Amino acid sequence: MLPRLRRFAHGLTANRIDADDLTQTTIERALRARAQWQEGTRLDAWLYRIMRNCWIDTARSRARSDKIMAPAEAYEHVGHDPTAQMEASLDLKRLMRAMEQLPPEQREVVALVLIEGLGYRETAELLDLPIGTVSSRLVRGRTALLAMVKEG
Amino acid sequence: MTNEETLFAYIDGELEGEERARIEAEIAADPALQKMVAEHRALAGELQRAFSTVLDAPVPRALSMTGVSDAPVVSLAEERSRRDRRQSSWGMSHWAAMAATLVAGLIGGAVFNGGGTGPVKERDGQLVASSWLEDALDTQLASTQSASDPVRIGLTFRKTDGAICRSFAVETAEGVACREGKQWQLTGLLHRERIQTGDYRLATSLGSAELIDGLIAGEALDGEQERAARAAGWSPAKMP
Repeated sequence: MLPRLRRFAHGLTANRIDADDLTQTTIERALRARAQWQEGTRLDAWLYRIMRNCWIDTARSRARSDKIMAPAEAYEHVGHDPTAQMEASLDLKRLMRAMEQLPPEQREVVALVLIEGLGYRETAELLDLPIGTVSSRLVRGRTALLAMVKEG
Repeated sequence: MTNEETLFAYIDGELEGEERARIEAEIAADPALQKMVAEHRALAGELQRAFSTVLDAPVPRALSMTGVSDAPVVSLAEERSRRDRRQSSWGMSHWAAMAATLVAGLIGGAVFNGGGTGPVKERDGQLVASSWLEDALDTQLASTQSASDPVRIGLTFRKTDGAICRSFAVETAEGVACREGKQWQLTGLLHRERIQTGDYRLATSLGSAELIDGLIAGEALDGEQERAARAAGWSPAKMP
């Protein structure tokens, strides 16, 4: 579960440093709220939701203090195929930069549906949104992403 | 033309039956739509692939254990051979403590709320095995346990300071406990959804394997050594 949580953090923040910070904050908050998790319900959805709430809080307090976000850094990889790793790393950097340009409400649905592989209904439930809102944000988000990726 | 939302719902596999067939026919008749579908499929694939490299990136080892539910069964030796390629970029003990606490909270329910009978207790700031988990770690041998035992003992091994550690699995969790004085201190505790079937002496799920990998010195004890260690009260080996 943790690697997936970290992946979602990368999608949500579009920033490597923020992603690791967010993962940590999320685990901490999940710890404090652990009594609220109901056995038999999906642990991943519960954690995704906590992570998203943490990120909203972070974004809010940043907007207040008018802090500038740290630029995304090259992602470090450990692997046995340096070429493939490097390509993947460049792709991730490029895609994170594009994701960063998206409004947060589009970025989160792109992250949940296209990266985490959740269904529309699951995503709508997790975000407490009507399914139509999820699909319209998804259209705008991925259309903008594709345009950015094509521009290079 | 069909509306964009429906088209994307098709791309994402959200459509079924008649609606799906209708979109498919529409795409088949329209080269511009075909191009669009292909581009968006490629984009989705690229996003998936690029972001999934995060999954293989060095994750703090103790934390990676929370992913056991979908971890494949791997051989311990294979895991250990990967040791050199891994590195931990985050502070281990911090993460380990948080993750263990999270899982303990989820499993035990009342563990930290004064419950006296749970399998995990906090003692002097450490998580230690208690009740039936402690009993199993004290007495159960991997070589003689039966499938109906509530606790499965995996590997018994020594860590670098000579202390005995044992990996174990229960229905909802697995972990490693190391002997500290007269108690079993939990070094890692992982949430799991389903126990993998198989021989725990040889194969273990990725989460435990990583934990063990980070602790073990030398080889795991065999059945006879395990029995001898129990007879010696799980006392630490004298290190040279």
